[in-house]
Amino acid sequence: MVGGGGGGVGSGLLENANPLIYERSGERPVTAGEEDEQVPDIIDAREIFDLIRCINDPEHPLTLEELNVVEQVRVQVSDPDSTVAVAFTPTIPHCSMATLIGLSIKVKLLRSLPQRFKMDVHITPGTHASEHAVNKQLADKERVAAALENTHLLEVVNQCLSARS
Amino acid sequence: MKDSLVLLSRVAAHPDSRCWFLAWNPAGTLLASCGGDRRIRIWGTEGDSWVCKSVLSEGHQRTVRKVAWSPCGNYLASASFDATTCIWKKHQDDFECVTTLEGHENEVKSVAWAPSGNLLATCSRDKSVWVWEVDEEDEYECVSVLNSHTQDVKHVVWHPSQELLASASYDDTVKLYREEDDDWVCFATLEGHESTVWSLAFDPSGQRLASCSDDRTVRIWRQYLPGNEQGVS
Repeated sequence: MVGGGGGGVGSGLLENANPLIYERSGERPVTAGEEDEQVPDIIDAREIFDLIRCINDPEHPLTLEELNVVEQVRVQVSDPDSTVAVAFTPTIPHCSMATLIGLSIKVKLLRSLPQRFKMDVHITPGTHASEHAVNKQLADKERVAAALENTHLLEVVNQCLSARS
Repeated sequence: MKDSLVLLSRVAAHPDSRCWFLAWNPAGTLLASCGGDRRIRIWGTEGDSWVCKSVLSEGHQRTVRKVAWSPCGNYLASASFDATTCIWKKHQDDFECVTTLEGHENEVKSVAWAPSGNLLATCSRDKSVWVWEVDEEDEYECVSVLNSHTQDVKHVVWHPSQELLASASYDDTVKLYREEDDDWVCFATLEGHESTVWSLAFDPSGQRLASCSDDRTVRIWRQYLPGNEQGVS
């Protein structure tokens, strides 16, 4: 189901050998409201971004934030409506890892957010040759569930989601 | 007086996983559910509460996506991501897997019994729709493999009174099939939806077919006179 998914990890020639690397955002300043246990935390864009920024790119020893694949400004969230939308930007328009990266973002959100959330993960418009096809797969709940039953694919996704030492 | 729904019961049906589908038996006394835990559960009432009468495990190696009762109510078919379809026979409160239909290349998405009870249809991510015939000895034989869709087929449903089959697909179309000269053929394609068509239902007379899609519309199709009404879902 995932086009060219598993093959790229650790194999010889990298698709995008010299990616642009971006600076990491600093730690989020803690406000008095957040310290207060009585006030429920509203999930905002920064919190979503904090969940996805450290996802590893499948090919390079860098995070999606460092490659600018994810940016806080491309995260939209509404806690009262229980919706999240994340637009991610593949580093090159023919990136064969796009579906895998999108799936990793989706899985991270599925594992971290309350069940009530509806998650939309899609490619930043105009940044990929197959964006419609990739977006359609990512939006298909049944296809995503079936793909995650594939142990090899799940392993690759978990590698992207594991914390780097 | 305003119509409203009153919640009668809520049960945790498939632990730590999704419940993917539900089906009432023809008599309306049992409810079959299936899920990501690879099991099928049969629910019935004991007094005022709904209890699990039976758990069908050992049938599938992966998510069970849909279940369908035969018109007589004695059999249950289950479609799974493990690429097989199991046929279960009911013996009072127990179910026994009498046969496993193989052939699809990957996840089976749907299974449906024809009203006659002699035909079964399955569909899969392998883009095909299979028609199976069953005889009096519970022997199943595939009589047709239909490769009309260009993508994952999500749902199949039979016409209530004619031997006519409809399928819905990730390719955004609905296709209709019937037997012509001993061969199953696709005789019509309904286009109009702008994204995956997820499900279909014929009205009891069979004159209208409703389809729903990822494009957020429900369309109603009239036989032989293509037409549709869009409703916001």
